[in-house]
Amino acid sequence: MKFVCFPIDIESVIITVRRKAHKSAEVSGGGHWLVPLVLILFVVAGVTVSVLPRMLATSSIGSEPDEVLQESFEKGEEQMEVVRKRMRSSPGVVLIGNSMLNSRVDKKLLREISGSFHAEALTEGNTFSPVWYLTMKEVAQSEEPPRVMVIFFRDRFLTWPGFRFNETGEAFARGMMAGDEDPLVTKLFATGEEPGLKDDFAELKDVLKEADGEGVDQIESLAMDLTKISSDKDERREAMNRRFSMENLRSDVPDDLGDEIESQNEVTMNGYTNPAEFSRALKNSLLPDMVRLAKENGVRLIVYRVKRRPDMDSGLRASSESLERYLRDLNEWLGERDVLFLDENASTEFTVEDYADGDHISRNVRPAFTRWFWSQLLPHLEQ
Amino acid sequence: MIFHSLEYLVFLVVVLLVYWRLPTRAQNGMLLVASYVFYGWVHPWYCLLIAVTTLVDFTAARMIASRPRGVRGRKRIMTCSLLVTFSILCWFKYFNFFTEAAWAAFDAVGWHIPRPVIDVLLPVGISFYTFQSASYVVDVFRGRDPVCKNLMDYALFVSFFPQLVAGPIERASHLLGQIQSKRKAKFCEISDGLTLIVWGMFKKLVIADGAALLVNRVFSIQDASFPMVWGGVVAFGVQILADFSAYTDIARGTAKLMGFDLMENFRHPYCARSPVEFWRRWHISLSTWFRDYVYVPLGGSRRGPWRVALNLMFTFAISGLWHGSNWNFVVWGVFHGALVAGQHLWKYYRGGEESPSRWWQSLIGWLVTFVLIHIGWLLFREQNSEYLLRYLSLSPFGVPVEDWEMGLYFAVHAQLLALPLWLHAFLGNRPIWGTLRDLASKGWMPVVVRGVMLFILAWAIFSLRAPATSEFIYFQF
Repeated sequence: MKFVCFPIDIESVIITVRRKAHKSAEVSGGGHWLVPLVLILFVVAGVTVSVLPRMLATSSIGSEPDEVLQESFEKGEEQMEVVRKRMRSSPGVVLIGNSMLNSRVDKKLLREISGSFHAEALTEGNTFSPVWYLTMKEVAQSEEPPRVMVIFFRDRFLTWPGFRFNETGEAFARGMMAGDEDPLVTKLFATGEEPGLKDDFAELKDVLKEADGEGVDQIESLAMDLTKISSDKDERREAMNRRFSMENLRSDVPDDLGDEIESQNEVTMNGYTNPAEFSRALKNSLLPDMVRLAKENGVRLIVYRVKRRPDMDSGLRASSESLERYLRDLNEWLGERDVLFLDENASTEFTVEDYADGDHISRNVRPAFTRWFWSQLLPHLEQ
Repeated sequence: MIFHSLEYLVFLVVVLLVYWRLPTRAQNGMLLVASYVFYGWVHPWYCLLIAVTTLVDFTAARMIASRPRGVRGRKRIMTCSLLVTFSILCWFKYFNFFTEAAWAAFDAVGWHIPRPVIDVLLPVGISFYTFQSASYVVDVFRGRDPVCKNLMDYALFVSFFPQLVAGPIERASHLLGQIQSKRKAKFCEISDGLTLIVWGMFKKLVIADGAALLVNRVFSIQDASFPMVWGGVVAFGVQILADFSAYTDIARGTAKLMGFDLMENFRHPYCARSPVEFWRRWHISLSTWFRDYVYVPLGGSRRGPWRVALNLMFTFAISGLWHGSNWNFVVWGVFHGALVAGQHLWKYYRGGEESPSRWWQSLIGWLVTFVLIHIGWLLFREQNSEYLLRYLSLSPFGVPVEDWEMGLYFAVHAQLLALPLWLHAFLGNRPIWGTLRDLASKGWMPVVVRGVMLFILAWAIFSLRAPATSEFIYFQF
């Protein structure tokens, strides 16, 4: 039968295509050239069916619920109150940082052993460099600023405002600024501008990385049902949470970075990556302003890089050439501005057995660390 | 660069697009460059090491081949080449391990000398490519392989990126021949490659990473009880099989996309009904490597039963050490050596078939083998000797019901994740599967069946994947 309603002879086109396909399959030595394409389409369809509803759901939800953000905002306000309260005691040395500092230094012991120097540690977990900057600003501009400020950080985080940048983090920082907006931080958080350089594939990676969780939960729930002997699911989950709590962890457990993702021996988060070169990272950061703040207020600034969890076998910490280069440049830049750079990574005092989860030092080692840290800092204070 | 990353996907697509537009010689050159980019992505200095190994073994093989058999010097050249190749491996992988043992002995006799420690990372894949390159020199020496006269081809054989980091450990007779000959784009091979890649991704991201979360929990607490530890071990059995076989599948799939065929590395190892059968199904490329280059030169099975048993024990101990510079791996190797040697002695003195012939014998054999292999996995997983001894001495009696529930939960959850592996093993060994395959081989039916399977796997990868992913376990070796 001929298709005559079209100006071209469709049948002959089909026959030609078939012949070509057949010939191509013969020449190729097996299979039809359309087969891989069809299979790829099936794969793409599978990915789309899985990912698309989640993308649509994410875009319709958009953001964290208001009460969560409000809570973070209030926490920020409370944190600033704590900073002001501590500064009323006119400390001579102030340590600033997140859980890296909190897990390492026992605040009470620090006060005791620092004697006339009167050291205080101002910590808040899960914070990032804009929060450190705001804390530092409050400290430096207090009535009686300290002689020395020490900022604790990991690897590149000093010049990485995008690390842990999310709605709750922003709400926390805004809470700290309540009533006194800082133009630099506000600009950093301005709509459409990202604090730090965003990975080109960040959004795609985020969507691909996270499963919808429902299927995973169903498998977990089925496993629970199949293994029930006496307790119900909730009781068992609670028992598990107790059993696997932080207090019960082995000191030599492997890295558990929670939301953080270890990639190529460096921590990444939220799909943001820091520029590999120090000079580019510096441009997006608050570090120059931190240095300026300290200078203007006559405070000596020290930055302290904590030691990431060493490898269990070698006792060493994996690094990368890019990170080493970055740290060399950071050190040089700080040196030119009379900022002291102390690096815990050079020490062998604490081993992997002294770590709790991830890069945190375990609770029972904290007093020893506090004493050791103070002994390391003291010579620089006496200069 | 890791397989389950977006960067790798982009890299692979670019490589494939360029690759199939080039003539064979240029394809090899381009693949060599791609392999070095892949390997040096994070640490470019790794490329220097692999280049040294390549140059040394290539030159040694050519020198050996230029001397007729029986002429003096051939053995010396091979020895020198192996010394250099294995020295590089030992320097990076075992220096700290051996000095620690030696200095512990010095301390014991009262010599307190500061211990030298190497402050460098273990280059990934070094154990794999060292073995691959060394086997070529030995095979040329034995006259089994013709010498490769083209450095580029040989360099590609050593560094071929799909299998560079975690195998399969290829032989020159298999891979080098393919590198030297013309490849054709066979669409059925490309389809198989694609299927293997998707299946490998599913095994890694859904099964292995899902099981890893359970395993890491169990082995992270101070007071794990008997059921919890063994529940965790069962989960680890799932994790390590899914993780390692996933890497192999992705490697084989990637190679197929470029017209290469890499050897099979796993054949449903948990279906084994004896330890010997397990080693014919698990990490086949490494088992056969040790058989051909360690066990056979030691005398193989040509000697008396006890000497053979000793050879087996030694070979497995070395194989354990290959896995990592820690005593637990040596113990794991010796444990498996003892199982295989025990089976050999049993067969020698009691006679009987190597494989059980009756269904109940098969069932008992399978169950015993499954349990023994998992005892081995505890030795493999727990690198802290203090905890290892503690776990081995745990009693199942007097444990609270709560702990039994947790232990069972870990084991059952992991086995639920492993259901596709069991299903694959079951169908792969059944005649019914062959019949179905024959029925489905008419027209476009097989494409549709495979397409639906890929659709389900792709959907599952992004719907059921574990919330956290980890590197492939065998990257550390």
